[in-house]
Amino acid sequence: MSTREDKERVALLQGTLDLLILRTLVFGRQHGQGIARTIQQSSADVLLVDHGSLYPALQRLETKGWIQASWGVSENNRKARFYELTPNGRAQLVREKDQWRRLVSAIGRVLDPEGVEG
Amino acid sequence: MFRKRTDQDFSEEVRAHLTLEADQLEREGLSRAEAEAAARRRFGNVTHREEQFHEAGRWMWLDHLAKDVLYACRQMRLAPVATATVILSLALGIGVNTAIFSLADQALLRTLPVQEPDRLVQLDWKGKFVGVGMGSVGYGSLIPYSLYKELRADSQVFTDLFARASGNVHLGVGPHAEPASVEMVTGSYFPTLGVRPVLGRLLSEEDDRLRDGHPVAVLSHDYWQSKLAGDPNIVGKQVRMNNYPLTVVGVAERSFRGTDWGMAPAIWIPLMMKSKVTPDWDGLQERRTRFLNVFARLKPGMTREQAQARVQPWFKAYLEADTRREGWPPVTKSQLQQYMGSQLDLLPGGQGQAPMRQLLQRPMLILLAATGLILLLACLNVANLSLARVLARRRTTALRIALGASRRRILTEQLVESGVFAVLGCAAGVLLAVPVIRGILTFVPTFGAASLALTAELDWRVLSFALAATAVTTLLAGTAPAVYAASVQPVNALKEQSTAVAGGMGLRKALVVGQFALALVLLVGAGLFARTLGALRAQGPRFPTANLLMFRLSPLSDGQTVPESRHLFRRLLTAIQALPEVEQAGIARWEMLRGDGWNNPVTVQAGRRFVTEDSVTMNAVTPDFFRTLGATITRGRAFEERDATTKTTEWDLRSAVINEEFVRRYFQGEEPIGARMGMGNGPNSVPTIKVVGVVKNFSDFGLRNPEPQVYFALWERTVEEGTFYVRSRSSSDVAATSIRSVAAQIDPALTVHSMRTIQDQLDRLLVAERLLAALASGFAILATLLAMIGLYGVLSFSAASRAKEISIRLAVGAPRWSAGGLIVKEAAVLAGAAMVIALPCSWAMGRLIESMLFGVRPMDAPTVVGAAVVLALVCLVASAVPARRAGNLSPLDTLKGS
Repeated sequence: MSTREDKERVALLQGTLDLLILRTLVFGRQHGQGIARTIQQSSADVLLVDHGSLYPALQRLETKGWIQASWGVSENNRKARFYELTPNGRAQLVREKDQWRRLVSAIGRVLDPEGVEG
Repeated sequence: MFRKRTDQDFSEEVRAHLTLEADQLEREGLSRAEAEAAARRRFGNVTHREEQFHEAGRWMWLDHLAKDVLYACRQMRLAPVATATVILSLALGIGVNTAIFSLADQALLRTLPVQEPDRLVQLDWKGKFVGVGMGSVGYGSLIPYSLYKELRADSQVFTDLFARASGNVHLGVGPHAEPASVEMVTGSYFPTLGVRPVLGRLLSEEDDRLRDGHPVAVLSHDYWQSKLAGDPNIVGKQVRMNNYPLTVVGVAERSFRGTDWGMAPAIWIPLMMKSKVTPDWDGLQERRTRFLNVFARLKPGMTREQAQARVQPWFKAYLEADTRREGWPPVTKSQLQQYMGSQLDLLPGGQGQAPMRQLLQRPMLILLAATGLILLLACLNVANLSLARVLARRRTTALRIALGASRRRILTEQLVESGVFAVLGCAAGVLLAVPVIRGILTFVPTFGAASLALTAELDWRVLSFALAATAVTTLLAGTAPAVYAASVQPVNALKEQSTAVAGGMGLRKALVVGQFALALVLLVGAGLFARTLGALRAQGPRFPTANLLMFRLSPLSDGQTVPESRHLFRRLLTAIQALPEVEQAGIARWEMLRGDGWNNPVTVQAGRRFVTEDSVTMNAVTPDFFRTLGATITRGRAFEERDATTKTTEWDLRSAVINEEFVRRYFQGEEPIGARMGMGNGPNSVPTIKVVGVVKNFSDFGLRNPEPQVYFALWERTVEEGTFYVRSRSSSDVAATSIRSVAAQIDPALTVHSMRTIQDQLDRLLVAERLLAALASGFAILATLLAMIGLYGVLSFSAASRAKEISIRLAVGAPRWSAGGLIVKEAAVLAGAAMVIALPCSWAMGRLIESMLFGVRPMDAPTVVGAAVVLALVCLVASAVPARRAGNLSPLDTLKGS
C-alpha cells in the first residue's frame, strides 16, 4: 500500500477536508480524535475513510501555518495534542468559505438556470 | 532536512488518539478490549501513517544515498584485496587521463589569463611580403613596425593594438648572468591585455616614446620567485640584460606568462629598447623588416569578420603607399602583383601565438585517445570485478527481493557502490596526476633558454574533467553489475540452480583476450623503442665521448663588437689549451648534436662541375678541432694556423675539409683534395674554396645515418658565437672549474653558458627517442597491469561459478593440484588466443613505426619473444590466487550449498 493510492482518493477531497478541519476548529481547540469524530459524524463517513487519513491533512495545515499544535490534557485527564486556528488560518477559512459558496452557486446556476426558460 | 517533529512525537500522538477513541467507545457501551480493537480498526493502518509521516517533507533519496554509501564502505572493508585492485585500476585510468588532459588543456584549449580573451585578434599578413624577415612562423605571420604604427593611428574597428617580439639575452643581478628569454612589447601591451601587477607597475605608453630612452623592465612572477627569491623590495633595483642595466618597475601577476606558452619570458622590456637585445639589426625604422606579432582588441559589438572586412581597404591603401615610398626595392611585375594581392587576416587571438601548438595538436589528441582507451580498459576491469562480487552475493540479494525489497533500490545500491569506488579512484588518480605531469614536462624540449609556461598545477577545469571522467566510469563500470544484481530471480538463486551467467562470460573472456593482445602489442612497441634508444646510445656520435666537455660563448650579448669577439675566442682557446688538466680543445661555430645547424647546398668544381641538390651540413672549426674529437683525417690535412685571415669583419673562406660520406655520395671517383667549392647551387655560384682534407664520418647534427658534411676554417671568418669542445685528462668537473676561472680572468663580464658534458648533450638530442621509449613503456606497463587485473577478475568469477564442478571432481578423487590446474589452463587458453591476435597487429605496428627505429628490425625476434614471456608470467601471477582458492575448495561445503 503506497501513499499514491491515498493521494488519488484524497486529492479530490483534499480541499474539502482542509476546509472542514478549519471549520471544526473555529469552535475552539480540539485534539485529533475529537476532530475525527466531529467530521465523521457531520459527513457520515464520506470524507473520512479512517481516522488515520486525518493526519496527513493536519500535518499539511500545520506546515502551512494555518493551525498550530501543542500538547495538553483532555477532559478525562488523558494526554493529547491540541490544535487551534492561527490568525492566518482564520483568514484562509473566510477565503475558502467564499470560494466554496461561489463554486456552489455557479454549479447551481448551471444545473438550474433561473428565469431563462421555465 | 530538519523537521520540527520527531517520529516518536507523532507515534505518541497516534497512541493518544487511540486511547481517547477507546475511552469514548467504552463510554458508548463497549468493553475495554472491544473498544480498543474498534479504535484501532477505525484508525486504519497505524504503521502506514507512521511511515507516511516519516517520509513527508524528507528527501528520502538522501537517506538512501547515505545508507548505500555506508553499505558500500562496509563491503569494501570485507574484501580489501579486491577493493585495492579496483581502486588502483581506476586511479591509473583517471590519473593518466587527468594528466594528459591538463597538458592538452594548457597547450591547446586554454585562453590567455587576460581580460576578455575572446575579443582579441591577431594580425596575419597573407601573401607576398617584399623585404627581409621570415614568413609565417607557425601561427600568424610577422608584421612590420610601420604597419603597426599606422594602423594604430587610423583604426576604427579596434579599441587598441599592441605588438611584441621575443629574444634571447643574458640576464642577471650583479655580475653573474644566465641565458633568459625576453619579450619586447609596445606600451599598449599590458593595458590592452588587462594584466595586473603584483608589485610596482607595468609598462605603459610612457615607456614607448624614445628610442633607447626607457631603461626599465617588468619581471615575470616565476623569475622573481625563483631567481630573486621573491624579494619584496625588488622595485627600483637593477638587473643587467646583455650587460646593460635596467631598472625594475614591477612584477607581473602570477598567472600571466606572456602570449606564447612555448616561450615564457623572464622579463618584459619596452620595444623602444630593442637595440639592447638585437644590436646588429634595427627593424623599427625599416619598413622592409618584419619581426613583430601584432594583436588587437575589437571594439564592442564588432565581430572578427566585420573587422576584417573593414580593414582591407585601409590595408590596400597602405600597400600602395608603400610602393611609392623611397627605399622601395626593384621588383618584377609579378612580384608587385603578388604584393598588392596580399590580405590582412584577423585570426582569433585569445590563445596568444604559440608555434608549438600546431606541432603538438595531433600528438596530443592521439595521446588523449590512448589514455581514454586505457580508462575504458580500467572500467571494464572494474565491471568484471564488480560482477564477480555481485555473483557471490546473489543469494543474499535473492532473499532481499523475496522479502519485498524493490529492485530499483538494489540497482541504485549497486550503482552507488560503483560510484564510491569511482570517487576514491578519482581522488587517488588526481593525486597521481601531478607527478605524472611533472614527469612528462621534464621530457618536453625547450627552445634555447626559454621556459615553458606549462605547469603541473591542477585548476578547476582539470578537476571538473576528472569528476566527469569519474561519472562516466561509474556508469560504464557499474551498469552491468547493477543490472545483473537487480535482475536476480529469487526462485532460481535460492534453489541454488546454476545461474545463467554463461551468457556474459563469453563477452568477458573476449575482453580479457583483447586487453592482453593490446598489452602484448604495446610491450613489443616499447621493446622496439627501448632498443632503438639503446642502439643510438651505443653507437654514439662516432667519436669517443669520455671526458669531453662543451660550452658556449655569445660575446655580442655581453657587449663586445665583432672583431673583439674573434680576438676573445683566440685568447680563451690558447688559455684553455695551456691548462694542465686539458688534453685538447677546439671551437666550432655551431653547436653539434643539436639536430640542426648551418646547412646550404654547394657547387663543386673538381674534374667536372657538379652541385648538391640537397643542403649539406656545415660548420666552421679551429685547427685542433678534429684532434680534440678524435676524428681521423684520412686524406690531405686538417686546418692549420696559416688558414687564418687577417680581415676582422668579413668572411674570407678559402679552405674546407669534407667528410667521407660527402666524397662517397658526390665525388664518384674524382679526387677530392684540391677541388674547389662555392656556396649555393645556382648557376652564378663561384667555387673558390679549396678542399684541403677528408675526415672520417662522425655525427654533427644527429646520430643516425651519416650525412655529407663540410667544415670551414673558423679563423677564416667572423666569430659572433661559438661552442668550445674540451677533452680533459680526467673527469670533466675539474676541467669545468678551471675553465670558468680562466674565462673570468680574461673577461669577468663574459658569460659562459650551456656548459655540459657530451653525454648530457646526447641526452638532449635524444629527447624524442627517450620520450617515446618512456611513454611506450609506461603505456605497456599500464596495459599489462590492467590486463592482469582483468584476467584475475575473470578467473575469480569463473572459479566461483565452477565451484560445484570443481567440488565434484575433487570429491570423486582428483588431486588438489588439478583444481588449480583447471584455472591455469583457462588462463593459458586466453593468453594463447591473445598472442595469436597480437602477432599480426605487432607486425602492422612495426611497419608503421619502422622509420623511427634504429638498429632493430620491426619484427625483431628477441623483442617479440621477450614480450610473450612477460605475458606468460603475468598470466601465471594473475591465476595464482584463483587457482589456489579453487584448490582449497572444500567439496563438502560447496556441494551442501552453504
